[in-house]
Amino acid sequence: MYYETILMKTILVAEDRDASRELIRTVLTAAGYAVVEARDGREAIDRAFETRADLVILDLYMPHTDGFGVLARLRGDDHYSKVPIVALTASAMAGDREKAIASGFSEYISKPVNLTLLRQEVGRLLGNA
Amino acid sequence: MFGWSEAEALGQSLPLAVELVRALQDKNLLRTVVQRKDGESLEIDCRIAPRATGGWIVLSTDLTRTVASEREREDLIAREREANARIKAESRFRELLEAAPDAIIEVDREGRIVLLNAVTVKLFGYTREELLGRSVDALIPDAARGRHATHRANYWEKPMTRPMGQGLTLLARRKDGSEFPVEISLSPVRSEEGFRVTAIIRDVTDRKIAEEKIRAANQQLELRNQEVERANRLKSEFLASMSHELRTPLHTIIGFAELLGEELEGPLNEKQKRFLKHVHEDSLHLLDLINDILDISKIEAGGMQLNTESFDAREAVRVAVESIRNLAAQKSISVENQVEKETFVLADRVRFREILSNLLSNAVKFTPEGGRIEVGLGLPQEDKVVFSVSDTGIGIAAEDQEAIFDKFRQVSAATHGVREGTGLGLAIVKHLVEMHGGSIWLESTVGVGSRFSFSIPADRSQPPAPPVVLVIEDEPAARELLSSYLSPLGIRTECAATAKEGIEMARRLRPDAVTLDLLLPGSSGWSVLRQLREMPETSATPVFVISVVDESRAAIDLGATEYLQKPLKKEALVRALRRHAPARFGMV
Repeated sequence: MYYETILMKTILVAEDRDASRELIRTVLTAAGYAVVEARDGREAIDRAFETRADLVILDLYMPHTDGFGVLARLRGDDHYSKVPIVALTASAMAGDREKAIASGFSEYISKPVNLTLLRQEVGRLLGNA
Repeated sequence: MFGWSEAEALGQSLPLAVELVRALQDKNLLRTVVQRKDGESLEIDCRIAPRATGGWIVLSTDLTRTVASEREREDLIAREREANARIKAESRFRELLEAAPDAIIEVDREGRIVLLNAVTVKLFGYTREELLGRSVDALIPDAARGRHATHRANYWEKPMTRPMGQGLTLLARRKDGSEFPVEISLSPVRSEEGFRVTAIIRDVTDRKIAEEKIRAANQQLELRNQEVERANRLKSEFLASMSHELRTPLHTIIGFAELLGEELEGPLNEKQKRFLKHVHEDSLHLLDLINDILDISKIEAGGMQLNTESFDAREAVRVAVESIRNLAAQKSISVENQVEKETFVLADRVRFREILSNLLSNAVKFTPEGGRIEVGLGLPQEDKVVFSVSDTGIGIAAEDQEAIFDKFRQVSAATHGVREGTGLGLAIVKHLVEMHGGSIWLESTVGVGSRFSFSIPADRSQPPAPPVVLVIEDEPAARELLSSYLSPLGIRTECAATAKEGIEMARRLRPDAVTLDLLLPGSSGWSVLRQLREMPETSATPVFVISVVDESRAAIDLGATEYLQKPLKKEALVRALRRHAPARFGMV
């Protein structure tokens, strides 16, 4: 059990809506990840530097600092320059995905999230698919 | 001269009258004979001119016989002719002047009006007498009058024909003080009295009004365009945010429904599972609706751009058919894809697939259990390829066939007992097809099925690769014979003389069909047949065994597609090719 905790990958989930945050937390916890939560952009940046997560999921539209702002801060950091950071958004307009990837996101997942797809993508990005 | 006293002559009717009239017609010059009071006849030359007060005036007479010498007389006549010509020219000039549609005035150096025409009178409201000799300033609005003297002085510096105040809106002033827009062109005139300037003044009130109307209309159009653009932009923004706002709660509804369904948080009883399934399915349906509404709104707002390219539609059809198979299998519906030959189209790849997917899922929706769906090619149009999706579904009544492409128009009777759709699918399909420059139509019989056909621009610049037949035959003459059968039909023949060569070429070329002579040197034809069947590249390729001996049963058993006996007729070979590989040889 002790070793498992040590080996558990940590995922930071930044999302302002409680329901959505709980959904993703539940799915990822059940899949065996340690989940750290943040309710807005500012908190996301604080938590990120406290925990040094292995993967970050950022809702694009959050109070204080949006997903793009958080991304910019994290990518400037040595650790987070190499960590996969995933954009999560309910926006579905043409070009949104391209814009996110061009900004430096590793992946783009649109809401409503398909749970199977979410697990697959997270697993793939953490290299244990 | 005539012997009459003044008192006697005045009021007396001239015996000359008749001749005078004639003289007038005869270029105003007349030599005639008159009688003196004393009864003596005199031959005279006279010139006459009309008098302003009416009547005639005899301008000059000459007692030729008694006074004038012959030379003097001719001199006189020449002078008279000249004078007449001048009068005539002047009257022509007058006529022209008065007939001109524009006001024409002549102004001397001091700015006095020395000549004007009837239009000037009409235009400005002054009489001739009021204007003649008066300063041209009378015709100039107060605001411009001060500068006019300077302009006049400048004009004399450089007198030439030119429009006045080019690029400016000039105004003229009527007698009553009202002003109106004019165009004025100026020309210098040299006359006996010195330099003058002629001004042609055109009233452009009507034109200005028309121009103003056009300008106002254009401005309004421009405003309306801006409004439309703004409305479109707002609509797009609204769509984007509405889509976002609707998807956000759906995300958690669908997500938690899935999560519960996975029973990670504990097992559900059958009733709970069923309830949950309703929630899940309807939330997915809601998502479909939102996506479709977004799509159609984008199309209608002109926000959807096609990314047109040339591609082989075969592949897109295959993908669309494969992705519908699961859904179809749930209702035991078979889906057949007849689009087997290379079909190059000019279209947006993603949208093309969307068209097909929409039609296919529609077909699945309206086809009962155990039915059949087929995707095929229709008769090609001039510059378009026609695709069709047929089903053995419930069909659509003739009176409803028109309405079926409308938004939110499901034909209610027909949809009875069928899982609801968004009602937007066909409207989107129609829009997409039309955006490509194609059209969509429907043939349907209630209870029998429907066939939706749509046309998409073809890319004729890509000639389809000719079908290839591999001829494995050791006899050169027989090889040549087969080539001569097939080449005129546009079929490429590749020949192999030995078994080894035949197998190697079959693997490399992947021919559309193989003909195999059973009596090959080195290895028997049978082993070639077996090897062809074993190789994945050729396991499905039609192989026609050709031989002089009748061993059809053995050949078919060993995997030959058909057995053809020598001597082989052309028709038999072509028939066999068409029968077993219609996609490649159906058109030859």
